[in-house]
Formats: sequence, C-alpha cells, structure tokens
Amino acid sequence: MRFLLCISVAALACLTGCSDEPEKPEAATVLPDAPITAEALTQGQALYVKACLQCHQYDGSGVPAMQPALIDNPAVAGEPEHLIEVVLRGMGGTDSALPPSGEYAMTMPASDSMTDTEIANLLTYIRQAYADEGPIKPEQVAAVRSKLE
Amino acid sequence: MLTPLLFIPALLAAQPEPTTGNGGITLPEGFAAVVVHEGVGPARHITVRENGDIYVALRRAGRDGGIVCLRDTDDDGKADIVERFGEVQGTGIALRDEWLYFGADFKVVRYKLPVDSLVPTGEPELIVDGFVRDGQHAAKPIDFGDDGRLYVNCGAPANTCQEQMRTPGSQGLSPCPILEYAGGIWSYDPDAPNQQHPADGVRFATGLRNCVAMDAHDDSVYIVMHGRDQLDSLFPEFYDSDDNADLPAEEMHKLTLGSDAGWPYTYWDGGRDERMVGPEYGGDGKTASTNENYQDPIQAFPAHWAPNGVMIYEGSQFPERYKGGAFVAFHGSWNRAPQMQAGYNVTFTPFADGEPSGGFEVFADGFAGKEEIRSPREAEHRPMGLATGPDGSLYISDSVEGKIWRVFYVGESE
Repeated sequence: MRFLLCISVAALACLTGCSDEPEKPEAATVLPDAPITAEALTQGQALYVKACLQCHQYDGSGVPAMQPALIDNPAVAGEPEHLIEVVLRGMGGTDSALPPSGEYAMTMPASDSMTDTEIANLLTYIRQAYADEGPIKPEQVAAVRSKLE
Repeated sequence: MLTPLLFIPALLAAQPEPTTGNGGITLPEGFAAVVVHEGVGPARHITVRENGDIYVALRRAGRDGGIVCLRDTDDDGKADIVERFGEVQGTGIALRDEWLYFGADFKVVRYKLPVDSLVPTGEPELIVDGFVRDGQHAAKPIDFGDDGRLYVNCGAPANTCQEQMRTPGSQGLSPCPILEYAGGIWSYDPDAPNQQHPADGVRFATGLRNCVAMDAHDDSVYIVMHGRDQLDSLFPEFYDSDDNADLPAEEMHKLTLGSDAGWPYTYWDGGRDERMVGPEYGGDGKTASTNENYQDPIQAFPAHWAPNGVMIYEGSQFPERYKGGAFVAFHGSWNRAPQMQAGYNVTFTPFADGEPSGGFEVFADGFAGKEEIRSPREAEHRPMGLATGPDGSLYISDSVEGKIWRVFYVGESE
C-alpha cells in the first residue's frame, strides 16, 4: 500500500500546512477549499481499501474495459454532486442506478448505506489521491442524498 | 520390447525464422515463435483459415472496422497484408464453409467469405439476436460442434445472483432468474437467419458464470469458467482477502447436453478441492454442496486468472504429448488485491481419453513484461485468444495492443 500511504502523507503535508496559497473564489454553498483533516483522509483511505480497491485497483488505474480508472477521470475531478450521485446510486445493474458506461463492462453497486461523513471522506480521499482536487463535505453528500429521495 | 526412437528434424515443411527473443515470451524447449503482427488493436479471439489467413475480433471497432484480416504472402510468418472490415465489435469469431461468423456482444452475425478472398463480401447476415443488453460478461465466444450447431456462450451479467448486485451481505435469488437467458451455453442453427435468444435456441448447459474460453470438440464443449469474485468484500464475516485471492477456482469442464456447473449457488474451492455452497445461499466458507446435479470440474485452475481462451490441440505439428491436450489463455487477474495479480500466461494440460491426464503447466509466459503485476494496466500484453493454423502452429492474440504470436515446434520429434 505504499502508493496509498504516500498520498496521505503528501496530502496532509500540503493541504493542512500551506497557508500562503492564493485566495480562491468563494463557493456558493460549501467551501470546497476547506482544510482536509487527517481523520478524514485516514477514514477515506480505509474506506477506499475496503470498498473500492478491488475494482479500481491500488493505484486507481482501474481495469481496461471493465472498471474505469480514477486517475485522469473527469468525473473524479469534476462536479462533486455527480461524484456523490455515482456513489449513492451506483452505475448500471438496477433501475435506480445511473446508466452504465458503454465503455466499461462492470456495474458498480450503490453505497447508500454509508453515512454522509463516510462518503464525504471517501470521496475527499479519492479526489485528493487521483485528481488533486479539494474536499467534499458531508453537507454536500446530504444535499445530494436529499435530492434523490 | 521398446522400439528405438528415431529422431528427425521436426521441420517437414519450412518454418519461419523465429522473432528475436520469441517476441518477448518464454516457451518450452523446442518451441519458437514469430510475431505475426505487433499490434492490430484491442484483440479478442482469433481464428485461422485453411489457407493460413488470420481473422481477429476487436473489442472496439476502429474507423475501418472491428475485424482484422491478416495474410502472409511470403511465408515468413509475418502479416504482409492487413485489412479491416465490419461495423461490429466483440469477441467471438469462427469460420465455417464460406462464412465468417462473428459474436458481437449482443448478437451473432456472419459474412460471406468466398474462397481465396481475404476480406468478406456483402452485408452481414443476422443469425442470433436478443441477448441481454448488459455490459457485464457480454462477450459472445462462438464455435461449431461436430453436430453442426453453433454454440454461443451467454455469460451471466452478474458476479453471483444477489438481490442487490455486488452489494455486501445481499442474499442470492433462488431460483436465479438469470439462468433463464444467461449463465449458460446455448446452441443455434448456424444457417437460420434472425433467430431470437433464447426462444429459438437450445440451452446446452447451465450453471456457468462466464465462459469466454470455449471450444466445441468431438461431442462435447470444453470450457474454462471465470470463477466468482469478491468473497471477502461481500462476506467479510466468512472470508478474508487471502481466501478471496486463492479459493474460488477457475473451473475447466467437459460439457454435454444438460450439464450444470452450479453457478450461482456454489463455487469450486481450489484449496479444499470441493464444491462449496456460496455465501449468498447460506454458505460460510466451510459448507460443501451436496447437490449431485452440479458436475465437478475436470481441472481447477488458480482463482481469478481469467481464462479467456481454450483450445484442444488438433494439429499434427507438436509432439505427441500435446495432441488432444488443452491450451488455455489466461488474461490475468484483477481481483486478487492486496496480493499480486496473477495469470497472464498460456498453460497446457495433457489429456488422455478426453480428460486431463495430469496437472497443468505454464506453456507460454512473459506476456506481462514484468514479474510482479499489482494492477492489470501494468501488463504490457495479456493473452486472449488461441487458434491452430493449418500446419499445426499455435496462434496467440493479446488484448492490450493486439500483438499476434505464432508458436511452432523446432525441436526434434519421433
């Protein structure tokens, strides 16, 4: 798990310790550049190992034609709401899931039994590890979950 | 009294000059390989015509088509003419008379292929349609039986038959409705157009999760089934990651009409060498199945190696021990983490009287380009399809770049 551990250390070193970064525009609802805590990354990494690693692989490289890579994946780097919806609904396999991707054969199960905080920490870890993007907050997960209900 | 063996060179006919280093793969002593083509695209199965022309199915059709046609015009083993055609993409490809059949993911079509024509002519003719349109295990390997029927693998669009797909703790449906239209092998009339699956076919065998590796041979269909995934992540109370990595074998079966291999209710535990009740159906990793309807595999391969091609060797070129035995192309695993991934090779199993007479051995290796693979994308090449040429050479296709090897015997023979 060297790759996973290196990501955590690097993420913590930068995101909690860089105070002289240029100011970013204010977000409309939740602050996307809120600090990532050590606890969030640790839990997110553990959840990735438990729920995601077998399919998306230890380095987020996915499996050709079966499961998409998380590295260089526009969905990972893109709008948090879509990413949250993918986790809550899954992709393919059931009527409630998002449509399957034509390029990848495998379906992805819904993980709506995870709490808002767990999903937020998982996606924060994934975005930091594979897209160098900012955190996702539990409030954002709760908002998407509420919209889907 | 033993008859003294007379050793003569195996090369009764001219063999091509082997590629340096056999094109990056290792082979048993006495064998060599020439690279037919360095990369035709994301190759799936491969077939070779009586005149030596080679046809390769592509997983993704490029602008010029999803079927690649290769011809060697100067007998050096390398493709000199490369043509592409067909607005299809998929896995299955097979020749019969003057027809080239293609198993796209959701249909089977055929193209007219006149004698001596490298590229088919005319529009595709729809043979079978109506397969479930689900991406999981959608590959449609095809082959022709001695009975003249067209055999089609219909992989189950699932890992097991859970109420909630690939969801931890979700129980299995019983009876599993998938088995009505998938999770088995069906046969069809190869000359009847517009047949609908499954109504117009015959369900030849069932209880088969996914059999990309399939070879109709004599009166049987030999398959190597992809065993189940995710024992530990779906049922962590019964299995750990080592159990998942090592236990659910890839099963080789000799199928006859009515065979049932027990999916999704059971799996074959390669450690216990025993059929076990699946955890979705009350199993706990320790409970063996007592259902006698489920046949045992004739050979169990390591878990998750992903058998994507099997071929009973019918050629005359290789030494006697290879004749009638089974080559299996293993695409390589993705579901063994945190252990290293495995497979990425071609094995051989000697047969006697239609069944294995010993354990398997790795025949060709080195495809991945490195010893340890942690993630499938690290592999340079992944073995996919197998075929025999008219001279008895073994052809191997690769799914990463579409590299094609032709393996031939250069040692001494009896």
